[in-house]
Amino acid sequence: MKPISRRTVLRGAAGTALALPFLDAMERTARADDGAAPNRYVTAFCGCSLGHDQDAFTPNAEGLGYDLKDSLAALGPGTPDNGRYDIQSSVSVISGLRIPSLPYSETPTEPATAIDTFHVGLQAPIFSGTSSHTNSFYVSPDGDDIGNGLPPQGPTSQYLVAAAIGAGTVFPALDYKIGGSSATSIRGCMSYRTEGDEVIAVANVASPQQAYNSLVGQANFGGETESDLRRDFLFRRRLSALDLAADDASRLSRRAGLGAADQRRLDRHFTELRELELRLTALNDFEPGAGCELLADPGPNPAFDGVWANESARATTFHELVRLAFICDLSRTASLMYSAAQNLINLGPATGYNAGIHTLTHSSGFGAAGNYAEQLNAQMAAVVAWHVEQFAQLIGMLADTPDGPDTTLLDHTALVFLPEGGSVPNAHARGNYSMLVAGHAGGLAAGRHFRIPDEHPARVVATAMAAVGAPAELGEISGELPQLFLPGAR
Amino acid sequence: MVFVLQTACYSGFSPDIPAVGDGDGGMDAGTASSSGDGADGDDASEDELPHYAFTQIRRLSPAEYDASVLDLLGLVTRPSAELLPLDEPDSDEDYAFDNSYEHQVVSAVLIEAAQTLAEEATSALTEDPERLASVLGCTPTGLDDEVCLRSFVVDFGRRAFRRPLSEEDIQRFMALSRCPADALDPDVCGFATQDQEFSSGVDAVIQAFLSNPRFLYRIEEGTPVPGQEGVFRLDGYEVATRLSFLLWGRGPDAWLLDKAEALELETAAQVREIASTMLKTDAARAQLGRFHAQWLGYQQLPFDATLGDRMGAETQALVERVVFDEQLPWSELFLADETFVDSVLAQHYELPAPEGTEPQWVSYGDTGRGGILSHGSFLFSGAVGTVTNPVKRGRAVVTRLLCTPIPMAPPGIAPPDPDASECKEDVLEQHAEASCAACHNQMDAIGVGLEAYDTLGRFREAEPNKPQCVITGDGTFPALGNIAETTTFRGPKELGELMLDSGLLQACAATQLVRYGLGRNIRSSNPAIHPEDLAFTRAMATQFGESGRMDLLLLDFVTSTPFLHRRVVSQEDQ
Repeated sequence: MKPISRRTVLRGAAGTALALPFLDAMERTARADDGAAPNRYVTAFCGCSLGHDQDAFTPNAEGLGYDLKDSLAALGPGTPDNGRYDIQSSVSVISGLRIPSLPYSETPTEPATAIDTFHVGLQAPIFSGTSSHTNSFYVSPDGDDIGNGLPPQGPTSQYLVAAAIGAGTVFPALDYKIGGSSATSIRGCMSYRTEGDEVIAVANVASPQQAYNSLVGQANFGGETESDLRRDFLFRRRLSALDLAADDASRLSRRAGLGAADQRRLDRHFTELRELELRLTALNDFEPGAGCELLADPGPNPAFDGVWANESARATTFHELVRLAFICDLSRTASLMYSAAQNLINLGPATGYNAGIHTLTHSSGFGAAGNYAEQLNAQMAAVVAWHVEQFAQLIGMLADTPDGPDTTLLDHTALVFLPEGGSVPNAHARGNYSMLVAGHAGGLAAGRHFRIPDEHPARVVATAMAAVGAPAELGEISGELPQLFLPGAR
Repeated sequence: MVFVLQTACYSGFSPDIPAVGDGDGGMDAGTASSSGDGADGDDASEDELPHYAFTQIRRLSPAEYDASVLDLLGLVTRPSAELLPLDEPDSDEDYAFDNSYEHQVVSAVLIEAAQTLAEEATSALTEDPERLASVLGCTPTGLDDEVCLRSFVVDFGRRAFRRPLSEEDIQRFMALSRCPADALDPDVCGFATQDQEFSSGVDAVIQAFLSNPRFLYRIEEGTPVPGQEGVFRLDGYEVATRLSFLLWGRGPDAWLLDKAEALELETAAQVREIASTMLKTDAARAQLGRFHAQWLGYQQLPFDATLGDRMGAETQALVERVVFDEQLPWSELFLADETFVDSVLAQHYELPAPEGTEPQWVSYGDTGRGGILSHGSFLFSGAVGTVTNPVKRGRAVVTRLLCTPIPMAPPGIAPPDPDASECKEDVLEQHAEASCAACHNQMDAIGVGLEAYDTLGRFREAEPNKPQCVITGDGTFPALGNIAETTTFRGPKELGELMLDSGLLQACAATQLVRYGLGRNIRSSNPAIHPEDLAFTRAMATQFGESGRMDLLLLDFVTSTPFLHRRVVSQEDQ
């Protein structure tokens, strides 16, 4: 056997040397030049509003040590076995927010003609800070069908943050979707990036197994599972096939007979193949630093059994991958779609209430028994509580992971958690909107309840961006909220 | 050109395609003109056909991917949908197909999942020497057996890419089994079926085929049609591929590719003959079942495997009997007075149980059941939990089965909160108020006519746990298509008859088939629509109205100008 150098010069089947801009970057460790740990950023989405006529989310008390209502129970003292993570001191609640009417993104003042809808693409406007397109059943004044499912008018915060602080990591961003079954959710995208002038949807990874394979399966963790020689062989073979595929995509996209849309599609396919080649190369040359240890293979995805796809177990795997990516500095940003807007995930096995989430929010449960309103309030609180519990699990993992002397990952992370709607007796509530900000990056004032009447939720997102060192500029929304930082932190 | 939908319910529903049937009822002014000043204004008359349809290249759907890999390797390791990202559904609720290029987005997840799937399948193949040998088609004499390698690449490549490889391609794929220039150890890189220290070169080749864009996409180019800007005549291989994915749900096999090579897919008559042969296969039966399941919404069967599998088989049996075995008028799908059940399912439906354990055709008698709308598979569609929702059922019938759009409720309107003690029909009465009534009166009343059947298709006379809530099952069908006045009905059989009499069901079937076949939502409210598309769809609907047979509709469609051509939007128009 000949010795192998990790620093291989890659040659594709066609003999073309690949450009490897990541290689220089891979020399660095998770430490910046001054030895400080990098910041990380997480966005999370809960695809339901906060309740009917009872707010089980927003604390009564403001400031430190706020009261924990039913939906926030997971933040309180206890153990993970009981779904309690004891992390309230790292989590702030921001309440009183309001998603503006469309298309008036920034001003909370509503014209009489305001269209009171945010459903379609909701997560895109609040994560991108741009006006949404309206529901397709409405037409613009000049008669155009504005359309459904159109992208927002700018990238979501994660990609702005990735550009600011993620340079050199193998994955600029991780995009994971927890609501697993294809049969139970729609509107499944919360991430958009820009390519030139175009805003492009980023498909998220809904399979924990695929996420593991992508992040860990092909990374070099020091030869624990395969010999260096074998890994190198498989790596080269993968590269050769990808190289040929990319070459074909490129050739096809230049065929004159194809339409412009076909050419664009193949061109994008080519670009994605090239980016995968670069990621694989970087992962092959990856050298794990302190605390970066191989994660066990999660095995096959939890199956959809007709009710649910064990979303709790899926969330745990995705959280472990986020933690791993952060401590190994494979990525510094992650988005987690716990459930999609208007989703029909049935959390019955976790909450005891057997109904699709969207069905609950619209209280259209024909045939409910007992006190209908009371029961719906309890069900909605349980559904939101499940989402908060998942989010709390990730926060707990970050809090338990050392990242530098006397600090943890949570000290260098900002996380935001946004629900689909607020809490008023209207399934499409835009007002009385509350969200969570967690972590201590940048001197965030954690563990407090802030009431900020009629502020745009995206403004809070911009503040979290600022906390991790990115400009607080998000589409049409800009400027951090200074009260969300500790005195003297800014 | 778009419809202004806000007011649709106030001026009556506007079917996308006029009703067919009843002799001259097809282009009845009353059904065609209420759509406002939209696309109808420029309708080309049928005399101006043929039209050319806009299409784009399509990625294989997860089901098409699985079927194609199965054909190539004889195995699949898992349903690819477990790893491939889900395409966003169409925003139109009546478009339910999984193969629309309009929603196929290229992403890192797609690329990585395709890579993983290719590697998994290849590993599984190389662990099964017998299967591998049959896939190879020859036995390599050694690592340097270029003859066997070449014959494998030529044959496998033609089927994977659905057309012959060029000599350059053959060389490029053969090269994959050899070591790269800076090989570590030349001995491990040869072409062999024996598991060498690091596996063999053959899986490198297979893996490369399966993750290549020419496998993942149906690339179409064709030959420019003189005088027709942006129009191309598909070549025989491309026609074979369209035929195969439409009629079989998978890529063409060697027989079909041979037909293309022998220039036996050049004329419409030739295509019709080949397609007729293709329809005589099990693959065609399964595929037509998939089309109906996606359109009618029963691809998700009840989760209880005991019932779900039986209901799936029940419905598939009816589709096959009507379309293939007895070549009956397609309307029989909605009229059949027998159903294919075993004793378990018969008992479930409270029908006389057939003898023995195998399913048999059992008469519905005077139960009020009839046709596919009586099946548990259909009645389960759209169910959330175990409670029926007559609004959703009625809405699905009008929008999806009759291709007649209904606007969504205006935003900010909360549905009435039912009190636990209230009967469902009382709750629905709140919909009869003010602005809600225009739409709700029509769709609710259809759903009410199916209320006597629960989400599993069982008959009932009262709501569960509410004996005071007696279900009358008396529904009302709105004035739609050839049905001039609202008409009362009871149960699935009478509903099916009204839907057929409206002429909209057959028109909608033809419309949905064209959408499925072209991989695109052709609908008047779609901003990307072209009047020619609608006119073509109408022509297909008219032909279907005349023949009444689904197999003939398929043959008419695959020999139509749009099916045999592609048309692209020029750069300037985009």
